[in-house]
Amino acid sequence: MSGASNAAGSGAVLGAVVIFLIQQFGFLSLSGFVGGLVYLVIAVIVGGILGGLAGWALTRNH
Amino acid sequence: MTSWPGVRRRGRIVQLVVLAAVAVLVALPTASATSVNSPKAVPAASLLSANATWEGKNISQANTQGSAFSISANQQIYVNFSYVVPVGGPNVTVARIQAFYFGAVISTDQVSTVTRFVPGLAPDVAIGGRGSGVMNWSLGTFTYLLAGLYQLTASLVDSNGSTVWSENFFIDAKAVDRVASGLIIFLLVLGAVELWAIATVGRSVRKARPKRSGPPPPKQWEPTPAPGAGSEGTTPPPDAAPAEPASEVTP
Repeated sequence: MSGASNAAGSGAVLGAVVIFLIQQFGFLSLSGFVGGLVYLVIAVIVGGILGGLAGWALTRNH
Repeated sequence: MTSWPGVRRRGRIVQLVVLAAVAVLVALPTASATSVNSPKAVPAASLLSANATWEGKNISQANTQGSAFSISANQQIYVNFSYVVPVGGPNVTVARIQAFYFGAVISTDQVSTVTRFVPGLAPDVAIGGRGSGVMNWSLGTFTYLLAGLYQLTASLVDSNGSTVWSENFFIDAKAVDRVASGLIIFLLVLGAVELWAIATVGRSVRKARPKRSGPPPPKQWEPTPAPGAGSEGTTPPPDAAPAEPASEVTP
């Protein structure tokens, strides 16, 4: 498994964590099923892409 | 031997499973969570009027996320329902407050209401009765786990179990005694671990890959035995220096 895909996985988890934290700190409501799921899926995808980019940047010279 | 990427992949799967399990545990605390979708507000079609107050404030003041009522997660809230039933209107029996998370009910509090039927004071006043219900609401058994923004639904239910009035509002539950709730602590630790994993991804890849070796060293020339020759027969390479004649040792 390459460094980029490792980091993409970490980024996806981090995206979900960030959404849950935003809800816990009172800035976002995840009460609705569809609305909450949409936020979560978007966060996971964006986190995965950003994590993958970071992993690629950090490992391209190795 | 297990490779480092393999361990990390398994660790990530475990983290995802734990995260999903926490979300499910939070979303399914009540066995009575029958509703999958948050109910829409039911207009007070069959009631003359109804309202609910949250510590004296009308819940309609907190109908957006930005105007949510701020409470402490272990606080008990005094909620007062009042309604007016028209003649021939529903027989309201229960006042209820439900909290939702991902569409599932995570907290339900309900009280019985008392309706006093009033005969028409005048022929043009068609008042069937007035009722009220008082509740001490709290987040319940998950006080130390739950904090954050939640949507609540206040509703009045008739004797058939039908919702005759409901209104949605929001609360912002602060963690108990300014200490982060259990879920916040878990999420912060998990986030730190994942950040560390991304920051050190280059190092882990270096460890996982074998050291890049240079070109192999030139092989030393070894004499190849001539076909059919004995063990002493050797063919020197054409560019090899002529061998020194063996010096005879004289005693």
